[in-house]
Amino acid sequence: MLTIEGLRKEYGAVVALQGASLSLVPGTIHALLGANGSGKSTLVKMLGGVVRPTEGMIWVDEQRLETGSPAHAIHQGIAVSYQETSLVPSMSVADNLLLGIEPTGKAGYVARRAIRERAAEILDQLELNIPPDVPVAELPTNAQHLLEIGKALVKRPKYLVLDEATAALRREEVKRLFSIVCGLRDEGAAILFVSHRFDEVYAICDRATVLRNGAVVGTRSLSKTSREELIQDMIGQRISLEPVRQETGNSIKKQSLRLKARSLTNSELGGVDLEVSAGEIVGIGGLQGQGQTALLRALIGAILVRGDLETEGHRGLFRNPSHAAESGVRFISGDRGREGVFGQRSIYENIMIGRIATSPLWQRAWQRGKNRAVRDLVEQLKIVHHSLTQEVRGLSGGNQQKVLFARTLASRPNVVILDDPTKGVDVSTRMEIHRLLRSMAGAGVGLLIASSDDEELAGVCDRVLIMYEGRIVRELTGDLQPSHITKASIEGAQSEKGKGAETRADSL
Amino acid sequence: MRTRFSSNQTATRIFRSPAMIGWVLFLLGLVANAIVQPTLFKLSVINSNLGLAAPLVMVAIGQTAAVLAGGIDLSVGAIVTLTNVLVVSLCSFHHTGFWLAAILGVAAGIAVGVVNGFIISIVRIPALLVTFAMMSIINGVALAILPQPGGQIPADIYQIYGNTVAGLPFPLLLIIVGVLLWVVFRYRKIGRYLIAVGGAAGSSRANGIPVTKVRFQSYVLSAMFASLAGLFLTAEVSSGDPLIGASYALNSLAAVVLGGTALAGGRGSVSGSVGGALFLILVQNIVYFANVPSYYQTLVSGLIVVMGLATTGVLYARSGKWRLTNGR
Ligand SMILES: Nc1ncnc2c1ncn2[C@@H]1O[C@H](COP(=O)(O)OP(=O)(O)OP(=O)(O)O)[C@@H](O)[C@H]1O
Ligand SMILES: [Mg+2]
Repeated sequence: MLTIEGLRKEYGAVVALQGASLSLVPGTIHALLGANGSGKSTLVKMLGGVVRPTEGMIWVDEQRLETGSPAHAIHQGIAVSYQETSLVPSMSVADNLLLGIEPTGKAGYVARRAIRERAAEILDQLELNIPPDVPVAELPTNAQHLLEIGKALVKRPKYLVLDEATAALRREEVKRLFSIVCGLRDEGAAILFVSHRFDEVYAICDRATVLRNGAVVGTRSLSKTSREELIQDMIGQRISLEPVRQETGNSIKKQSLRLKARSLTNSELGGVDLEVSAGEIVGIGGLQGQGQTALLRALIGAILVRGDLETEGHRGLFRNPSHAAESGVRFISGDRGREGVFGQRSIYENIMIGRIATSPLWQRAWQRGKNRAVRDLVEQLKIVHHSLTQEVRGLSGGNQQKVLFARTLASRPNVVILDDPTKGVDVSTRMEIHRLLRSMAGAGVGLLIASSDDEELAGVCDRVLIMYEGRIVRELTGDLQPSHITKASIEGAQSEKGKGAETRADSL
Repeated sequence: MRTRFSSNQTATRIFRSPAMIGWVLFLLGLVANAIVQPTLFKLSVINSNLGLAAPLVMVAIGQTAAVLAGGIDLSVGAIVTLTNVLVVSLCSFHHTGFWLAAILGVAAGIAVGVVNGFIISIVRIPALLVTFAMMSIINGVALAILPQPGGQIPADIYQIYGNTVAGLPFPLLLIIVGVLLWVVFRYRKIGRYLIAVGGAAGSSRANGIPVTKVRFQSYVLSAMFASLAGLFLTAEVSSGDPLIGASYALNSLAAVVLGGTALAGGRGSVSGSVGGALFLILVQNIVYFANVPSYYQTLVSGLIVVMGLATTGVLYARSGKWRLTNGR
């Protein structure tokens, strides 16, 4: 049994966690819930030894855990899959999987064959078909998150902690993960599961502890608790969970085309045609890895592509993302850490950069009066912070995501292209973001959204395009249902395969 | 699904590996050198070239350890000098036996690394500043020990250095010993951890790697190789000189970068650095034998090195690590 007693963490004047207590019982899965910034990751990091608590202790099997020492936590059987991952991008997949616990042979040499074998074992278990010696930096984000989980699994932990491990995963991958996790539970491990997705929590967890503003609201047995009760615990008030229904789009729009792409082709795309009108939200769905990400990147000029593109006041493909930004086409990456926030800069700078990035290099950048605009955005998006000059890396993951939205809004875009926009965002913020997307559309922006979550696509989009092997194979309009999108993704794939379209063996 | 893995991919990976650049440059340099200097492959010429190369190769190996771990060591040249003046002055003015002097000289060099490592990893002052300051301090100490060039080491020592052993040039053996010494570290945990810490210190810590210790050891390793280089150089020139190591700090960094190691740390290899170091030696040869007027020699060799570095940079960018690539 693992028991946490009165764990408290202060960052200067900010109290991230104020005396949290909970216990993990072997053979159970325990959910840790809470809005963005409520202190979940802080608790997780203290379990893993990455962060040293200001006060409080952790007991593992009646023994006191030495806090602030990752090596000791690992030694005590605690393995953590961190929200922002703990991989070394320049090292290979196999080396990352066994990082820190390399088996050594005689004379202290690292047993490389053993590493490869154990890595292959874990990759097989996760059904990850990647060669074990590519550098991790070259993998797509979902594969990286699977590796982060794999890294915890290799340790055969007694206590497994998963901090939003499923946020970047596709449905099939989540299923696979759950069967592994349930297997571990049946063998007597205790699991702490952090997630914003209630269906996942109800699917595998036994009990749930809810955090609000860094304090434990309570621990409940899930079989006796409804979603609404949990949400009320999380945010302290009732909210409706109705999806943001579109103001039945098509009436206001169709007057002007914001983005028109013709036969985009490269190694991953097989001739994509695409149109986004003003005020329209277009979704991109389909099975995992069918070229969705490549399409988004091709549109902003981040990867090489042939074809034709037309936006307001510009004809032709963009040379690079900066060129796209100049024409008012903005991109929000699904990879927040590497392509999103500037972690060591302030919230203010992170938001303002959206506006000044395309102005001439020698123009005076920090003018007065812009403060007001930034403050308004921060308030509008309810970004939990204590000062505008605070470093962004000190924000919780969900709040960092909101900063990215604020930046995009500040730039007054024509077209916004989003890759998994609500990754790691809590329920109420997710609704806010959906509302925000709708209001952006209402103001005449054209939006293109790729998401791994069919519910999200159904909830917020006017149209959904289903991709398969780099082409758009279906278009869904009208009354969108998540199940229809999922079905279309699978059917699209099958009918295309039936046509004898050549299947690429391996996308890597 | 089985995890498949084709040999084709291995081949691509090796070819795309940044270390390749160092060796390709070396081969190009070798061809160019052979053209301007037809006697290049005579044993005595090879011998004297390798004699020049051995110290730089050693310093470059050590520098690679520091750079891989995300740091930099500007004091290596000063350490080379320190070992040189200590060994020579102990031998010639204090009548110490050569081997004892050698051990003391290397130990003094390693001690400098220990101080560097302590200040950088525990006191946490940036490596650039610490090793730069250490460079001046140690150069000052070297001047105090041996104010003027001079002194001598026993004749039998420097005669071995110019000879062959079992048909192989002695300096080549030294280079091989240096590389083997590195292999001892590379394939232990420390070798991996240097790369892990340089690649992502936070992640390394979360995985239980003793980051402070690894950083500390990287400077000790760097100093150890530098002082061995000082010893080799002493055997080669057979006398002492308080300015002898001045060029090694920047040349070793050039070798490291030419060999495809990222200055930001976490990526690279010693094999590349060895190629890079040999290339730098060849460049000096080429410029000399191509009858470049002596006024222009540094200019021309500088240009060649810049071209080499540019190739490294271009190939690096081509390998695509820093484009927006997470979506594939
Ligand atoms: N290094 C830090 N410096 C300052 N404040 C921090 C730091 N890390 C976290 N915080 C603060 O602690 C609070 C809790 O953050 P934490 O990351 O634990 O939230 P979370 O519950 O994991 O949220 P999310 O669901 O968005 O991941 C936040 O208000 C955050 O601003
Ligand atoms: Mg979190």
